[in-house]
Amino acid sequence: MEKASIRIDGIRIEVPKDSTVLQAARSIGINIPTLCYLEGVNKTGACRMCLVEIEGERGLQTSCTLPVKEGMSVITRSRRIREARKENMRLILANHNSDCLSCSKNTNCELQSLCEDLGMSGELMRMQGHRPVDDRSPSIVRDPSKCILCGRCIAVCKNVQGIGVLSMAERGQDTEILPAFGNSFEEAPCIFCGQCINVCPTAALTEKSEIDKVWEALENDDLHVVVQVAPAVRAALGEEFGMPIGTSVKGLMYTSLRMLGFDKVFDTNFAADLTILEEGTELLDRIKSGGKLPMITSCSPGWIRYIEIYHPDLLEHVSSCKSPQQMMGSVLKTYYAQLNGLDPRKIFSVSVMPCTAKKYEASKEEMAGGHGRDVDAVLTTRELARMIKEASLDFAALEPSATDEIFGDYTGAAVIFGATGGVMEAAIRTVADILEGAEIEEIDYEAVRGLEGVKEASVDVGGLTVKVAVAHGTNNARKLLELIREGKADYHFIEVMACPGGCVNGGGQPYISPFDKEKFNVNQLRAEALYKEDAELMLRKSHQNPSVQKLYRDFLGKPGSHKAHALLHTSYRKRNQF
Amino acid sequence: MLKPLKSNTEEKYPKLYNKVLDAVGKVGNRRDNLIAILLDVQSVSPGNYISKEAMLAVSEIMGIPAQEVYEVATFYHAISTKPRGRFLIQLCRGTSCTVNNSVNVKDSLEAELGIKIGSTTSDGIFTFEYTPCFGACDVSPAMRLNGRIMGNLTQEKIRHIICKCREAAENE
Repeated sequence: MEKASIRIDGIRIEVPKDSTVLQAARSIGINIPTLCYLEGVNKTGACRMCLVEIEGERGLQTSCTLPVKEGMSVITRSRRIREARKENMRLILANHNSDCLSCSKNTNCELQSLCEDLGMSGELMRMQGHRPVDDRSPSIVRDPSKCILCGRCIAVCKNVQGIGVLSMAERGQDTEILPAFGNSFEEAPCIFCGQCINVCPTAALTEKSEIDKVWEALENDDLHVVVQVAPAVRAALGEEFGMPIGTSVKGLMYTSLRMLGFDKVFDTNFAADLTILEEGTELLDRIKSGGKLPMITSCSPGWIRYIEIYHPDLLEHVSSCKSPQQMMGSVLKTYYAQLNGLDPRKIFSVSVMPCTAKKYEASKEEMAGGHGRDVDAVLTTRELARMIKEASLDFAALEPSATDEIFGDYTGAAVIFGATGGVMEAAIRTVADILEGAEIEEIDYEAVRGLEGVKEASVDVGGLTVKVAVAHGTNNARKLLELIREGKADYHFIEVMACPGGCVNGGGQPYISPFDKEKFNVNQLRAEALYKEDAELMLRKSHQNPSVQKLYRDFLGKPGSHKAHALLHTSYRKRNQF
Repeated sequence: MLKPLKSNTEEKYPKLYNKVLDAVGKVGNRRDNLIAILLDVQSVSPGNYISKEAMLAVSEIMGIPAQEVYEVATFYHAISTKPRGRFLIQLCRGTSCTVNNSVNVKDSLEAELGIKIGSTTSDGIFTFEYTPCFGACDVSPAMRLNGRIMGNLTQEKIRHIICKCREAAENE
């Protein structure tokens, strides 16, 4: 890559020719402020925070969009720039809900941080009249009074996910970012993946809170309140308490849940092992009897909504298995209730998820039985952190503990569900042993790990070459679906996760600032925490889980049995959003 | 480019769908003709506006995601996404008209129609709104009635115009 020689604030540096002035400045520690810029996602020069002076040019330029030019001289901190940034900030604040104290992003908001950095002082204009909050959907809430029109949400939905639910409508003072036609996110062809929430610099986009629902249940002596936690949560929850990205806080997490008042603390990983048994059986069945191949995983509710809305002609490929969250919910209200002589109607089942789409999934009609909803409330990782803070728990100082019996028992195969490729690797470990008729020793399938958009692998077992593919992010899923349509997808099994990076980057995970996103590979660090736990566990294959074996012996019979189908499987349908 | 979702507009609203096909056919199915097509469809739509169904039809026929059609339709003042009355009265908000007391015209019309500027009468006959300057400064204060420029307005003239409109509406 050719270099260009430029001067920034008098400092002469050489940068790659295709850099922007912003990238050049940041490479030497001049962190020009940005609000709308998001590397790899949004580069529009909308917020006007990154203004710089270019010697020889009259007007100030947005450094995020300005390419470097040989011999260019940039000034980033003259009085003129400092005043201009403050003035633009005043204009943004004039249309902004200034009630920080009651905002869920208080102390974790890019706008607040920038105001602090800029040294805003004096009388600030206050917003007159708020537009109403849109909280009609089960997963995502939109507050226009907090929107700074940066457009990152539109960009991530359109360019990263390849969907494009949001529009920037109207003009001038009336400009608003919302789903087309003023639809709710549920009416819109939105899949609830929450990537928009993860890129929003303020609290214009947040998850639908179920915190009050859970507090109420915990305080209700009549109810037996149980909780399950997804694998990706333990790899990120610590970040909310200042711990380094990628710290696994499993033990602390279980203790905090007990201290919040949950009667039993379980782990979704138990159900992940269960899912592998059911799904592995379904796959082998389809292979043997000429069923619809490639089979595609069904644990990601964002992915399910995506295929139901955008590619309903391919629904037959999707596994009929419920997600681990829902399988757990079903089992707790039937088998667990029986085991302990509990009335299922008195069980309040909560899950903690890295995911916003899970809130929608738990509310679906088909995710309920005679016992009511399989899962009564879903909390995101962020919501759990808020409850822990509200309960004044010193998270880091807690005594780590373990889960309660049976439904907190899991193998290493389950833990890696949180990373892209994890479900596939877990499935291969079990399917390979079954096909081979023996216990295979080498079970680290590196080919399906990592952050490449589409990954392929093939495994030779029991005389069969099993071909698999993994996609994360709906844009990559679409590529595989198009291959299926063209008849070019000669895989047996495909894993799809709606969120880029898999569940570790779910719409409910702790917010990471763009600055940190550039410094750390967040998804990789969080995933590594999960692969590390897997490597250290004694049992690393789902079919080795003694509690899952007991569940089948005592209750379900065998994988794919009639009872298993009634409780642990579901169906899909085409959704016409327009 | 993203492919738009298929809606059921063609089977549920065949007349509208055909209107859109005609409009597209007239200028060519190219992305840069979107505004012209929207204006055309609006002019032949009851209610003189672009409905959600119209936007969905345009989206499908032109291969532009509905979300982007919505962005364009809501951005331009000349395109309305809400139904408008049989008679669209647009009062010029330009400098010339303002200094020539267009406020008197506004007050007169509001009194005559019984509505505030920016609304439609409950019988759906009149919509009264501001519009940017359309260059009739020599006859200011001016307004447009269904696109026709009317200038040198006085209270007398306004009463007369509204009367004529009401008669025409009754005879329809």
